[in-house]
Amino acid sequence: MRRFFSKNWIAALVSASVMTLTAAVMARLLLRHISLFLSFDHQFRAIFAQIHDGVLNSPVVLMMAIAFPAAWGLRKLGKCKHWRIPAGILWVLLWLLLLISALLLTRVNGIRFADVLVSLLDVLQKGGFDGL
Amino acid sequence: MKKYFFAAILVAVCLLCGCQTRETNTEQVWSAGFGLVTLELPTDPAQPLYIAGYHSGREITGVLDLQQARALWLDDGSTSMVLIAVDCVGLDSGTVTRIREELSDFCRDTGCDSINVVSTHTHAGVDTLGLWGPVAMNGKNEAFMQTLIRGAATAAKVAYEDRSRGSLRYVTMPTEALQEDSRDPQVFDSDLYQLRFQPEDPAKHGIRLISFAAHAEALRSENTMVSRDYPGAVCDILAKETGDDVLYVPGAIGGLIMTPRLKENPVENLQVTAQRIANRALAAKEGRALAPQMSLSRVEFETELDNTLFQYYKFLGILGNPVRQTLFGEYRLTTELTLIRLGDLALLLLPGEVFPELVGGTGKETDPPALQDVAARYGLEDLMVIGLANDEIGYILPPSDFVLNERLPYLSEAEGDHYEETNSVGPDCAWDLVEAFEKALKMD
Repeated sequence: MRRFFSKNWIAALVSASVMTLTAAVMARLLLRHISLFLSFDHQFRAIFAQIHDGVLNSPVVLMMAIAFPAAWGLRKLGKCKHWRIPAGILWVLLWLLLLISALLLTRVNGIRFADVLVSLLDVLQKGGFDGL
Repeated sequence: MKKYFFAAILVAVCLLCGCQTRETNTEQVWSAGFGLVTLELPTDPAQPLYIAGYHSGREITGVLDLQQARALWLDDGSTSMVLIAVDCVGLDSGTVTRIREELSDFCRDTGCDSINVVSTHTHAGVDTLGLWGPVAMNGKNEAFMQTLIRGAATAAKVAYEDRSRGSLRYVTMPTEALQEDSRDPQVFDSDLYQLRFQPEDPAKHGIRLISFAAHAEALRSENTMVSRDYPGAVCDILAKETGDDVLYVPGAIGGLIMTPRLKENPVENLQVTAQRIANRALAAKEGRALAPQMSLSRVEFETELDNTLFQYYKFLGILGNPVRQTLFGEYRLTTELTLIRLGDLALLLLPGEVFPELVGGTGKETDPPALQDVAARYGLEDLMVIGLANDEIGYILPPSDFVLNERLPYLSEAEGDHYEETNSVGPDCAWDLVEAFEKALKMD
């Protein structure tokens, strides 16, 4: 523990990862709500939409922004004597989480998988489509 | 000098004659033609055919009468359009685009300004929307879809070749006891609408376009046989009785408006229903002549795709409409409406099953103004609404009566009569539709 905390740069990396994640979520929320309140015109909205879709929603960018610093931080953490096993578990969990996130954020025919997952489960439960 | 003066007069007279001749050439007169193609079923047993309209995963077991594509060519001498009525449950904008692409050379060669595809909404046809296959599977049969697309295009070409000059008349006939509304308030348009083209050449057939506001499900939900349902039988009866070529298109059928069960046997029920509707058309008077002036306004518009089930069908690639996600996370679906003016009559082609309340108005502040009132503001007193035209986005409901199940919105009905919400894109559609209509009127 002492060794870990003495390595300030590792702590900084882990904090940076958490902060990146928080910033991404916050930025997304802010973009949505500020735009809503200010009622930006269409062109301005389109630019923001591109930033939103291209950066914050992209699984690849998300991985690069969060996963690599966090994984690196955990790897360094794993070199500390008492943190080796927990860090390894966290490392695997992090990658699992990121893979699931990437899957959920993946778009097919313009629709994000996360948005239809619940419907899919409900349709399967209901046993099909009715009517029109 | 005198010589030049007379020469100038001669030139002026010649010019005037020339102008008059040109005026005669551009004299506006209606021309119309009719085309019909029967849509054969594919025979590959490896590719099942699912029946559309009721429950998922039901395969077709036989044929009562095959689906058809019937086309009307109409022009006023300067503006032209094709209206294709296809016997099917509905066609989304993706399929309509494929039909238009198939006709792109035709449009270039003939100068056709507008291709419009309307579904008769038969609930006894092959699944053309992809919603009635096994769970999580596309129910469309691609071989049949290709037959349908080619058949619709061929019908349009035949209609063009068949065209001849004549007059166009419009009439409405009230009907009685031919409709039921499945939910309160009981509102439906009981009129039968008819456009009739009378050719100058006595050797040619007349052409009738019939519109009635009821679901084509006289065969009811137990049926698994392919049929055009009552619209096909109405066309057959009128053709036999009058010698005219006939097209059928649905009106404002949302609600859900359907024909009553007149006979226990489904096939007898279909025949009796069709006969009664045809009798009203046969009893119709000649109607008033429409001046040969046509204009077309097509408006593409977006509406929120709030229905998670429809989102899921888009995800699977079944729903053919363009969809995008906004910054706010909502999905926006692109659809279209077309306004066709024939003299002083307005034909409004809407992309789904519109509630008649939206045509006549509800008087509620939360609902958009009535389509009839909007048309009247622009000097159009006669409005003929045609549903399921150029797209099928499901029911279009008045927002004041739009209620969703809290636990399973769009999958289960809310308490009371709220089935139609589950098959709609969302509560904003009515407003977006009326805005698009206003835009079309301004373009006109």
